[in-house]
Amino acid sequence: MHWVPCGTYNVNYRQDFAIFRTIPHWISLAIFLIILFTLPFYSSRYLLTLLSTIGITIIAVQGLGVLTGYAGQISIGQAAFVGTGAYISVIVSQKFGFPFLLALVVGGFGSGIIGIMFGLPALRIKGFYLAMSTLAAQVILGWFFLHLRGITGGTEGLHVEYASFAGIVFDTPQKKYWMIMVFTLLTLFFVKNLMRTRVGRALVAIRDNDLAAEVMGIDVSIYKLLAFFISCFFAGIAGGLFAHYISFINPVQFTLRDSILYLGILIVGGMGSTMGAIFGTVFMKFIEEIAFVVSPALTMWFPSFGAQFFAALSLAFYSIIIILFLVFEPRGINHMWVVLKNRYRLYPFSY
Amino acid sequence: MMLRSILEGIISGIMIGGVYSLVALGIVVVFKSTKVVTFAQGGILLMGAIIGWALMGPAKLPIGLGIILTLAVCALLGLCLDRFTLRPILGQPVLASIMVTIALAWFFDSVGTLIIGGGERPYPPLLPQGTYKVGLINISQSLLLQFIIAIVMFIVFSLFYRYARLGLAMRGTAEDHEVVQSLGIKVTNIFSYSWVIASLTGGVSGMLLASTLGATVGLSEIGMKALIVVLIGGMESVTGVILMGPIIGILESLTIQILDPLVGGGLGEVVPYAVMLIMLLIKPYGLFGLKRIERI
Repeated sequence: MHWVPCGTYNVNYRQDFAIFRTIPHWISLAIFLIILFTLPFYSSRYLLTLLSTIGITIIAVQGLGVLTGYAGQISIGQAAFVGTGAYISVIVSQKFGFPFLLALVVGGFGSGIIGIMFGLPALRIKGFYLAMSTLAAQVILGWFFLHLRGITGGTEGLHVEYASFAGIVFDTPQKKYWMIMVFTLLTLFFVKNLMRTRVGRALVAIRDNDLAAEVMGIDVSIYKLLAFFISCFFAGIAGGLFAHYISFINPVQFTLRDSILYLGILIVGGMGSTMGAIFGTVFMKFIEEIAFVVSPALTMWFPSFGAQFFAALSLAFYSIIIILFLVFEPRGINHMWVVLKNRYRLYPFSY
Repeated sequence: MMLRSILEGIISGIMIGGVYSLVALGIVVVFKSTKVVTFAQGGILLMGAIIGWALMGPAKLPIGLGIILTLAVCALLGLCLDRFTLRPILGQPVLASIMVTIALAWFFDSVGTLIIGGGERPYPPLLPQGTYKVGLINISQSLLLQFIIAIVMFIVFSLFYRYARLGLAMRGTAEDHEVVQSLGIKVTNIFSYSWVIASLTGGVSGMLLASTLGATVGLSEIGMKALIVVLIGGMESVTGVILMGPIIGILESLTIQILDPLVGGGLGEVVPYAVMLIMLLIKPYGLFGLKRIERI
């Protein structure tokens, strides 16, 4: 149930469909945007780095959200597609001299097309079987990253030049931050609106029951492949941004563990909502930072554990959080947020 | 020389495949009654190996007692898994069960790392370590014994599902929960039994593997291989698992021996997945699996 603030009436369809409808909505949006884009002038470098990685992760998770959250096709291979996009965009920009923006888009499309190839099993199978085929995609693509030494550089990876666009070189953390935030906002805008169109409704219908969707006249196979394409396209964009942000890529950055983490973020945030991916990413990064702060102290107290301790500890954290969310709040943080919002709007009445 | 290495590859593939089958049996048992595909079997296996190591290594218990205690702990673990993680998500979409079992596998992995670290812990020899020499080929005794244990388990499980009351109840549960409930069988109990049985097979295979390979965190990866075996053989089929385990094992060891030197290694990891992908495209429900017909 979605309540609107008291005294707000929809008198035409335009108002009914608007995302930002009331004046306080618009004001808060403006304040948010101003803070978001002026942050580099007065915030610390640490916060910028954190927000930049959050922005990249949000793009990748948003893509996965289209595929898994809206279309209901489980994918355990998102990190491999992020990697595909990263490698393609880096290779076309470094070896063939494509400009940054074009390389990014080429990376996205390349990743999307490879995604369609691995999405083909989705036409016949679903649920767990599809999850296994995307897992195969993860393993096979990961093998290519590692063993096509001539192109990907194998374990040594590839060094990436700074991105440049219209004469601006994105070399400082501040400039990179602006670049990533622009792409993140574009992604959010696109996904939020895509899901309100015919395509989005078709994907939701397929998620709820694909047989029923087919009977209703939705071309299930086309839309499933489209979902794979959109998901892997955003993964590719995220990969290209990541490569130009970190300036260095190697196969270790795109492992099965990352793929599962993307799914975990989606579940923790809440599937089938644009806000969910944001909540989930911020929450999981927060957990990661806590583990980052806690583990040196712990290794100081228990020196016998050593370096593996941190990795094992954060893994344990993640797994416990994912299980707790699935058991106690399977609809994720987004649902808590919606409940909170409705409570506030109806206060002091309970309904 | 080439022929001999191929033959040895095939033999060792069959033997390793026997272990895959053993691990995969646990996955089939869980799936047959609960319809949950568990990614956590590798983790349970790892826990079995580590508990066995802790009891028989540092705690210096006699081997017989150590094995029995390990299996008891594993059974308890299975019970807890079912009660506290899988039962609450009953009725949620399939993604929930997949993610919970993956998270459990992660959890066991990290607990394993916290207990034994990254290194390899030596294990008391549970199985004879020698080799038989048949003609030109060497066969490791321990691998042979593991294979025999897998075959015995297979026969036991086949008979169990055909004749035992509990086995029949499990098959009934797989068919239809409501019908089984109305026949006076408690479905949740069946779920618990399945998890306990799966954990027991996990514990057995964990100790067997650790006794030959040593207790390492890497053992849990066999859970993934077993999942592939189950998928190709057919999710419900004990026969499929027993047949496909050795076949995947052969494929893997032959790939490692013949193809890997040509492309620079690592292909042994990928080929099972590639075979699985092709299988999913051609025959999605596996060789011996049941095709589900859906209604709206």
